[in-house]
Amino acid sequence: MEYYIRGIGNISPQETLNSRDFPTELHNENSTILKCIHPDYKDYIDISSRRRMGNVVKMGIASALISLKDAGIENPGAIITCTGLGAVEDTEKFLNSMLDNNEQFLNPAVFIQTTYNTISSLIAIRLNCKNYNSTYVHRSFSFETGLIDALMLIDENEAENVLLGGVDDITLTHFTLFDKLDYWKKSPINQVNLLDSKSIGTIAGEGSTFFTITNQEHPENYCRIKGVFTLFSSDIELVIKKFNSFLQTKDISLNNIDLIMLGLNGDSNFDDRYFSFMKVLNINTPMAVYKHLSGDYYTSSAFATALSALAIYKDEVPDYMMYKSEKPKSIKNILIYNQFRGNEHSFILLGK
Amino acid sequence: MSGKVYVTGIGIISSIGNKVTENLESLLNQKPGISRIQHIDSIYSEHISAGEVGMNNEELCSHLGIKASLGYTRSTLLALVAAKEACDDALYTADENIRTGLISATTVGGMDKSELHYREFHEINTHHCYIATHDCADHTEKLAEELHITDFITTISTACSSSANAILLGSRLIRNGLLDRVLVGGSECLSKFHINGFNSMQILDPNPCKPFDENRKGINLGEAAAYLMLESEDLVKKNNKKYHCVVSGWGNACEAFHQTASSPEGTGAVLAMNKALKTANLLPSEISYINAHGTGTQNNDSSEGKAIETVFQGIPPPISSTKPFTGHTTSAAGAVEAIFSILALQHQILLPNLNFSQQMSELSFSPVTSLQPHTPIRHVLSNSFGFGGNNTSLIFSAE
Amino acid sequence: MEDLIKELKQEIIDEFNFEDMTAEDIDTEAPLFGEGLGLDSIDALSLMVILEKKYGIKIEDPKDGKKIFSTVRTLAEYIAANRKQ
Repeated sequence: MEYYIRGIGNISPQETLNSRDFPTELHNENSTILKCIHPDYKDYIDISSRRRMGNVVKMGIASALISLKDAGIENPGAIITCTGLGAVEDTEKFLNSMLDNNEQFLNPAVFIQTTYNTISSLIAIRLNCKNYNSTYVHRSFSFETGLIDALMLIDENEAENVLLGGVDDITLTHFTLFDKLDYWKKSPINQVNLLDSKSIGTIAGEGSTFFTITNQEHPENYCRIKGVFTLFSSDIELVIKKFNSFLQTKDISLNNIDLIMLGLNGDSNFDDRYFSFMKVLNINTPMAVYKHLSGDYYTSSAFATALSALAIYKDEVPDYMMYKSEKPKSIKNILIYNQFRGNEHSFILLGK
Repeated sequence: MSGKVYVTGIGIISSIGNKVTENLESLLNQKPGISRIQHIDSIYSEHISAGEVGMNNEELCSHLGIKASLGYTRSTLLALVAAKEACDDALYTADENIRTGLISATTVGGMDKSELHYREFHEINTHHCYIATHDCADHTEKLAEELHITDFITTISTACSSSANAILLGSRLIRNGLLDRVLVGGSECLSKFHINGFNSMQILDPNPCKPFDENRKGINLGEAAAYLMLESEDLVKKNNKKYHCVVSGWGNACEAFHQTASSPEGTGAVLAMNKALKTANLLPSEISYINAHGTGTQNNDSSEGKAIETVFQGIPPPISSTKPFTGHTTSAAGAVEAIFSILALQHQILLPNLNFSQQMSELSFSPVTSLQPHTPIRHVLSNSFGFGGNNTSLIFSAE
Repeated sequence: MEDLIKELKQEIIDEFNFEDMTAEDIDTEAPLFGEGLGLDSIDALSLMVILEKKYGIKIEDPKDGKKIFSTVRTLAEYIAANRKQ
């Protein structure tokens, strides 16, 4: 079975609303948090539906609609939403209100938003789509395991087109709490210098990237999805062993990969894992990066997938994505490698 | 795509027992586990009924042989108890040559600790170990570390159908040849957050719940963890393994009707049940027993009842909701009731729908009200429906 | 009564996030639920919370809410007659 990316909707801290072009100018913040550039949600969601929605829900619905429009598809055969944190803003609101008012006067409208599958359900309601619907909530594996599900649905003939997205937003509370665990840089940093920072922590980010995945060939498809796999282990030898057998099953060699997209996030505690991986395998493939554009968040590999799909579609990669290497001459295959805190490893292979 | 999906191990901890045999005994003795709340300091603890696991966290830790309880949320502790039982039952050992997965489900995750220490996180800088345990994935990773599972791990959260979707995904991963075996299930502890959430929606019955009764008044919340080890036909045949049953059917459909309410005619439930029957290649008349979602709310039971009438063309097989035993264990309910369905199948018993007295005026059927032993049962349908109209049906068959 | 009506309209706009709307945009006699403002069953529960928190009125049976919440005027009249704070 073949799988293609046919449509993309991408709301991010960069100008990515136009799915079929790379942002020409880079937003260049001095910060420890990158926030999204939001579209006017009135264009996508009417007031009676919008009024209960927090940012993450609005981002999810709008990017889902943009992706379907880009694909020219109205009703998908399945909807899968991937989110590390869900409606964290509403969860904090309900929790605060519960603690402040000694469990009284609580607003049920806030509680129902806290359910992790709110985004996926509201997209279904919006599209009147009664098909398969699921929500993955596993840190940096959320998007990849959702993608595995999406491809299986196509194999099973359960769906011809699957709407799949990764969405997370960053709240101040979440930022403050995880700052105590040294997840973030201790002082603002210019995002373009993130990967040279040589200090612990990264920049927090957010985004919502939805894809319309199809089994139908079409001239406007961005790229082919050739494979995806995840591994939960801190043992780099096991990662390499599993990676090699992944390439083998996909019948592709390292030499055929034109660009490798790395989830480097500037955290000196963890970035060296990527370098050991590259070194052990003796990989000299041109490298690209994305977390200096989006900040780091649980479903940022969806953002990486959108940029990679576009690079294959346009057969070009902007300078601002390259990392310490020459640009590839042509781009047929891209490998995305992301890892989270040394033990969640994921690989997505895209091809022309 | 072929090959059966076998259930080779089961494990459960709920308000009616700390392991499978204890749960079975309570079911056979028709002994519910619903009471006032002991372990949570809520203003509602004395006023609502819930299905609470007997052991407190310290007792769970000592049961598990965990010396320092710091860093373990209650959902994780419950999950460890049930997952280990399922693994022992399946004679599981870690083996790099067998592609093994873990899919768990939860909705509140580590909320029990967050709500307790939330203010301290900010103000006095203590209990920071519970910041990273808040999310849904934490309990899954603790299970994966304990059981040395590396190949495929993920967490699903689709409200009250979460662990049914974990079973569905695991079955599909095996059917599609992507995994050889996979531990699937869910864990949900009671939390002040959930109690207050459901209370604000005014759907908690302060007394023991009465699913499918004309005078039903809402749900009792519960806590539980339940896991099933699923294995491929190849693996079972190769090792000549014992098994409980097969997962023969699954179906997931979204109602796309309302964020919390089910449609009056149960459109999504009809779709899910029909998909499950189709996967199992069964006629409705071949289903021997339905373990219903049956929460005890006005809305669910009437919608689900109508949907069952539609799918079974007015003549449904025996039906019961087992939520009066355990309470509604939300994300864990799908796995809890999968295990009850398997027990019904293995012991050829129809499980009773406790607390029932009066048939619903809009339905043509009543549930099974007493334990019925020696009933021939071949195929059991189990329903799990969640907020957002997320409907999942599973079918468990003897072979 | 007119002050209470105006206060309630603002309350509804704030609580239910009707951005871009002012109190003048809400018709005192128009239905709050379904047609009209388009509130739903979840909003009804939120309205009950407002009544309890702000006016000390507890509606025990959600079914009573239907009549009380039919328009801004019926709501205001009920509050005026039953408020405890």
